[in-house]
Amino acid sequence: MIVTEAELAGLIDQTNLEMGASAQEIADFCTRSVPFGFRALCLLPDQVGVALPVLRGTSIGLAACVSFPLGLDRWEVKAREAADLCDLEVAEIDMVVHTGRAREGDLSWVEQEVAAVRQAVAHPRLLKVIIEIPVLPDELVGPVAVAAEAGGADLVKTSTGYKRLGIRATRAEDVRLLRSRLSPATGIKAAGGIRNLGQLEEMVEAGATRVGASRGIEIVEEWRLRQAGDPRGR
Amino acid sequence: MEGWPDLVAPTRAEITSAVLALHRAGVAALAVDPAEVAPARDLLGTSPIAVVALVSAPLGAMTSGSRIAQAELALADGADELAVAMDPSLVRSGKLGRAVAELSPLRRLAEGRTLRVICHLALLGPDLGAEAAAGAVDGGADLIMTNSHFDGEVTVEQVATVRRRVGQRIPLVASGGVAATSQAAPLLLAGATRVAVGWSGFPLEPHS
Repeated sequence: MIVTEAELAGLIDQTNLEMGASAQEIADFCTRSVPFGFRALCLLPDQVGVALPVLRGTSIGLAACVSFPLGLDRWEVKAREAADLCDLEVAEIDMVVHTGRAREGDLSWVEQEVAAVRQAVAHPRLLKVIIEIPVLPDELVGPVAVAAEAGGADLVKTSTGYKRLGIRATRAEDVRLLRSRLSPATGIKAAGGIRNLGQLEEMVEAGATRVGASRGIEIVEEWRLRQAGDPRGR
Repeated sequence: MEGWPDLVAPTRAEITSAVLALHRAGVAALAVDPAEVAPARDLLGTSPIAVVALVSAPLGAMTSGSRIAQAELALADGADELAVAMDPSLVRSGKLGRAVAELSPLRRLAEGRTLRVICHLALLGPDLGAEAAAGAVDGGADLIMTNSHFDGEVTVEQVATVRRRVGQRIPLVASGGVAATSQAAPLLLAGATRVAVGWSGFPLEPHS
C-alpha cells in the first residue's frame, strides 16, 4: 500500500517516448516533471542531452531506452548504445530484447544480449529489460523473463507500452506472472496503458516495484485530490 | 516495388517466408531490420534483389556511436544499401543541419553503395519533410524514402512535394503504410520512382 506522495512518485518513471518530440517539448516536459520528485524520467536516446541540464542537481534519475521499440538489433549495437548513454551520465537503461527471437523462444539469444548490455551498464546503474509480454506466446513469458534475469536484469519490464505498435495494455496478471517466476531481488516495472492512480495501485499490489507512465503528473495530482477528500481522486 | 517489414517483431520462420514471397513477387529491393541482413542475404543467394538495411529506424533516435556500429555490421553482413532514418526531433527543433551532419559518417561507410535517407514526411508534414529531404540530398543521400513504418501513411501530396523540392534526378521511394501493391499507382504518378509495400501485402504461399 502506498502511504505517502513521495512513495508514490518514487515508484514512477515519468515517460516521454514521443517520436520526433522537439527539444523544447522535452525540456518543458522535464521542467514540469521535476517538482513531482519522480524516481526517473524515461526518454529516447536523442533527448538525453536536452534532459540532463534540467535534471542536474535534482534527485530524479534519467533513464534512456536502448533498441526501442522492437529490439531488432544485434547485441553489439545494443551494447554500444547503452555504453554511449552511460558515458552521458544516464542512470538507468531500459533495453528491449529482440522481440522476434523472444517470440521464437530463443532464450539463449535473450540471455546473451542482456548479458552483453549488462557489461556496458555497470552497477550501480540500473538495467531494466523490456520483454514485450503482449506479443509473446503465454507459455514463453515466464521463460523469457527468467532468461532476462539470468543475463543480469535488475528489473524486468512488462512492455514498451509503445502506442504505435498497437499492442494491448499491461495487465496486473502480467505482473503477477513475473513475480511468480523471478527472484525477489529482481524488480518488476509495469508499463503500457497505466493512465490513472487506480491502475497504478493495481500493478503495485500485483508486485510491481516501478511503474512507467506518460501521465505521472496526472496520477500524482489524482493522489492529492484523494488525500484532500475530493471524489475526483479515485 | 520494394518490400518493407511491417510485421511486428517477426520470427525467423516468418522472415524466411516473407523473403521468399517477396523474391517470388520479383521486388527490386527488400528492407530488413539490422539483425536480419545476413539471413536475408543468405536466403536470396545470387538474386539481384537489393538487401536494404534499416539504420536507426524506425524512430531515428539512436546515439551516434550505435548508429554507426549498426551500419558497419549491416554492411559486413552483406547489406547492399543502407536506409537511414534521420532524427526527426532535430528537424523539428530547427536543427536540420545537425541531422544532415549525422549522415556524414554513414555516407563514408556506404562508399560505392546506395545511401537512402528516410525523411518522416508524415510526421514532419510535407513542407518540413521536403526540407529534410533536400538537406539529406545535400548530405549525400542517393535516394529519399518518404517515411519509416512508424511515421504514418505516405500520401500523394508528400510525394509530389518532395519531388518538386529535390528535382527529378533523385530516386524517390514512397514508403509508409502501403499495405498492397494496388495502392502504388497514384504514388508513382505523383513522382515516386518505386513504392515500398509492407511484407504482409505479399502472399506468403505461392499461388497454385
